[in-house]
Amino acid sequence: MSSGLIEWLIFLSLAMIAIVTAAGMIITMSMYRAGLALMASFVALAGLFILLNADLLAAIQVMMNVGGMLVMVLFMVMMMMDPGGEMMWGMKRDMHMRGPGALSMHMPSGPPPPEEQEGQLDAGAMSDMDVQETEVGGHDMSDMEMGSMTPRQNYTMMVDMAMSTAQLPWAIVLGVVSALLLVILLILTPWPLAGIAPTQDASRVVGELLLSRYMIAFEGAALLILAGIAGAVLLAKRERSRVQTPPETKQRGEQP
Amino acid sequence: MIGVQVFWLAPLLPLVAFGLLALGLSRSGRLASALAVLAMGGSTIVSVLGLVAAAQGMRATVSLPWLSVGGRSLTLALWLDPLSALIATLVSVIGFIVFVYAASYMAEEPLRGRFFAEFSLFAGSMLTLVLAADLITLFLAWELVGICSYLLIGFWFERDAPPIAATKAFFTTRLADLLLLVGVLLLVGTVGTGRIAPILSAVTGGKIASNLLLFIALLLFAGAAGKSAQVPFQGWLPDAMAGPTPVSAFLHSATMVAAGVFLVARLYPLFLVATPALQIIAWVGVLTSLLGGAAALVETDLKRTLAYSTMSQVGLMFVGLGSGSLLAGVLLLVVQALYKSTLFLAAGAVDRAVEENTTFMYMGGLLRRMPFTAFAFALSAAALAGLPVTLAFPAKDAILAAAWYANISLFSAALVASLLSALYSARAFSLVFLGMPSPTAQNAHEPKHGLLVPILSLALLVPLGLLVNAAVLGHPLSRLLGGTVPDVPMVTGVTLVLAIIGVVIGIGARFIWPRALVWPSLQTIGPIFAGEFGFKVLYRLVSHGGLGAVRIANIVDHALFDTLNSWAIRGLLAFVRACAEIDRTLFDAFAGVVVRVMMTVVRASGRIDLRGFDTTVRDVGQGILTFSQRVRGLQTGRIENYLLFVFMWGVGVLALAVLVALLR
Amino acid sequence: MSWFTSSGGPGLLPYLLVGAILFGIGVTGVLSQRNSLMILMSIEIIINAAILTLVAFWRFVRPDQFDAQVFVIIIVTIAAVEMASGLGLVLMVFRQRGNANVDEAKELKQ
Repeated sequence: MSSGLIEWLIFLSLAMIAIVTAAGMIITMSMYRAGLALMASFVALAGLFILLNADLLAAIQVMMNVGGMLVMVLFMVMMMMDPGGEMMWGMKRDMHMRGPGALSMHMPSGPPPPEEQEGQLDAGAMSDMDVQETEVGGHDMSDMEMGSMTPRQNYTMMVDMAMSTAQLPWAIVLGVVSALLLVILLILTPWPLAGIAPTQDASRVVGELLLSRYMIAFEGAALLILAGIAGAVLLAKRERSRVQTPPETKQRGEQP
Repeated sequence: MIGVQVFWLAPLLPLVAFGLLALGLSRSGRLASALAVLAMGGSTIVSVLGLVAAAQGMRATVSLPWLSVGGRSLTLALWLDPLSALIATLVSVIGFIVFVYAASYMAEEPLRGRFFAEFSLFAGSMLTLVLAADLITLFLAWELVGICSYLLIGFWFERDAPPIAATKAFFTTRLADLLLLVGVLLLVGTVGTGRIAPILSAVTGGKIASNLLLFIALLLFAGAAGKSAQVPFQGWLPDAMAGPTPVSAFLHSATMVAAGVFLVARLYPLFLVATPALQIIAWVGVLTSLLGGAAALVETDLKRTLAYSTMSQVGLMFVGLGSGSLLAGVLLLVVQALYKSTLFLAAGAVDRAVEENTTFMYMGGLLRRMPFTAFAFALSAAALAGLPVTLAFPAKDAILAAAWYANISLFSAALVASLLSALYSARAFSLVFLGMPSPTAQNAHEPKHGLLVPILSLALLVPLGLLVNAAVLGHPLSRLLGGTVPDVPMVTGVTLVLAIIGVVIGIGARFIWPRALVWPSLQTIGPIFAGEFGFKVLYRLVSHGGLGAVRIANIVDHALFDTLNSWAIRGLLAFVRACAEIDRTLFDAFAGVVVRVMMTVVRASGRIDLRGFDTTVRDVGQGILTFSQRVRGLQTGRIENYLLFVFMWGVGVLALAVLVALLR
Repeated sequence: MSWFTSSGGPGLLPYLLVGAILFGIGVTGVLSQRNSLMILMSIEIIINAAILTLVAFWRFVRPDQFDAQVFVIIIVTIAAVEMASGLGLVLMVFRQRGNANVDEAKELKQ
């Protein structure tokens, strides 16, 4: 096999991993899984960097972004009541909702059903619900077996549980359109290609550049990091006497 | 010599005193009188020095440039020459003594600060007049003197008589001054300068036409006559006695009334050239002298008697001048000043003694009670009468001698006048000091020292003054002024005889006058004399005539102009009414039509506006509202919507870039 | 043609396409996700797509100058700082409300 072909294979696999995991991040029900998927996408990107002879950048990418994603995951664990998606998975299975449990629920796009007394099911009311089906995954309410939930309650549950907003159609359209436009633009533009390969040691040269020509950017970045640290700490600080302070005197958003 | 260098201080010192007093120092009467007396003292010293210098032949001029008008320059100039020095010394010496007298006389007067201010102003201006080297300066001082006379006569303006008297004096002299002004201006205009010396040389050099010169001379004399109370300007002098006695003593006996004489003496060469003027001067003088003397004879008031006497004496001075003798006139001027002011000072003391009365009937028998005053009075009265108080005859004989040389009838009239002077002076003396005292005179006593000392000192100067041209001293006056005093022994003798007769009869006045039976004609003549030979009637006629003329003019004005006015106004009113009628009928109708047309147009446009524009405006507004409400819907407040908008915008830009790339 | 390199491997364009697709996915994520953290992660995807494009350009257009790599380093730094700030803000919001859902922050509308 020629080196070109091997290169192509590696490229394609890495590209596939990157794209699929990025898409999966958006689709999945669990935020924990979303974080992990993003980490995988970044690792695949790092692989692509290596293919492009940018070893230094690959290393930096892994260190920075993967570490960042770990932090993200931690936050998600803290915030979500069901980080692993367990509950949702079980719920879907019990209620026989369509689609794998790993995929997220979407915001119902129709009007809420009218209030009903408990225990009384109105099949006709249910059919008023109009849930949009997408190829990514969705629910058809008419297939659902109602346990002890009224349509109204079901609706409310779905609103609470949804991962995506009601703008999903618009978002998909825009994403596709932007990708297409970019593709067209990139194909059409005549790029001035240089046929040579990089020869120097990247670390050495980049280091020299950082400390000579881009000194200001370097120092500015450092300053920015400092500001970021300080800002983040400030923003994240808790109020000291949160427990003892009576509710009337507690001011919203106040940081001591 | 100091004299020539400082002679100009003589008028300046009293003027400075006036300035200080006018600026506020007059509050303290004592300070005012002290200042005035001091100034006059300084003046006296300076004038004496000046006289000494002039006697030694020195001359000096001090001038101040003032205006330049039409190519001619006017200056204020003072001049030291024998005549001016002599008169200046006379004025300042008498002035000094009178000032000291006034300091005592006016001691109880609360407003004596003002008095001394005015008095000093008068002294300063009189001295300026005397020392003037320039006719304009002289005229200015002339006018100032007139104003001071008005102010001083009317000093007690709260009383009835003084303001009237002051106004009368001022207006009479003013009229005369107008004539003087015309004369001065003519002279200055013809000669080209106001300076006296060039004028005189031009006159004597014959550069002025004789007709013009005569005219000028008459005008100048008219002014002099006004100031010196000669006919026809003599009416004011007796009434001027309403002022305080020092005023009468200084102004109206010695100085101001002598100013006219001085003027003629000063410009004597001019008069000499215009000889007809001299004759007129002499005859006017003698007429006044007779008039004054006659009135003094029948006067019942001491001060008025003395005033008429002054009038008469000044007339005699003019006789002397008019007869061609400058020296005679000047001599009498000097001597008269001395004894007349003494008489007035004594009169002041007398009326103080008899409780402010100056009428004869309140006096009498004061000889024993006021011996010193009587002595002073007697001395001066004798000089007035013509008696030789010292070894020299008091000037009247010089006048008469001059008249003798000029004209026999003039001489006779002057002789009668001098007889009259003897008569009235003796009469006055006897009525005041001799005989039985009146009730008010019972308590009379000598005046206080402040009054008595000046009286006596001035009285003692009288014989000294009489010596001014004494042969014993070598005719100092003649040497000073040049020329000789006319001297006709026969005339002197006649004068002396007449004087003695007059005095004797006069002294008997106490006893004779009441016996009207003896002198019945006197009762008829008396009023004539008192009426100044009818001049008073003349004045009254003139004033009545004036008033009548004014009334007639008023009637004419009313009849003529007012009637014309009312016709004119009525006509105008009718015209205006007619115009209004036309306006109403014609224009208003027209305006009505126009208004109706306009209203229709306006209503139509209103309808168009309402329907067309309002609807359009409303629709546009509505459309904007709807549009804005729809746009408002974009503000959902949701972050996801805003993000969507941002990215839509980004995608739009991308599409644009693609388009551009495609088109290229 | 930039599809292939001289040795037959993938040229410039494949990499650019991958970047474009990743960008599209990221945009979709930003606009459709409900949780703020998910939005932040979608932004991360977009940034990384841009970085990929940049590195591809460096490799095939100007491999002799390493300025592009310096640029990438700076971008990564800035992205990290932005993440940190964003996380801080999300934390604050979470403390206030109890969740970090974006469609419930509707107070901007009156």
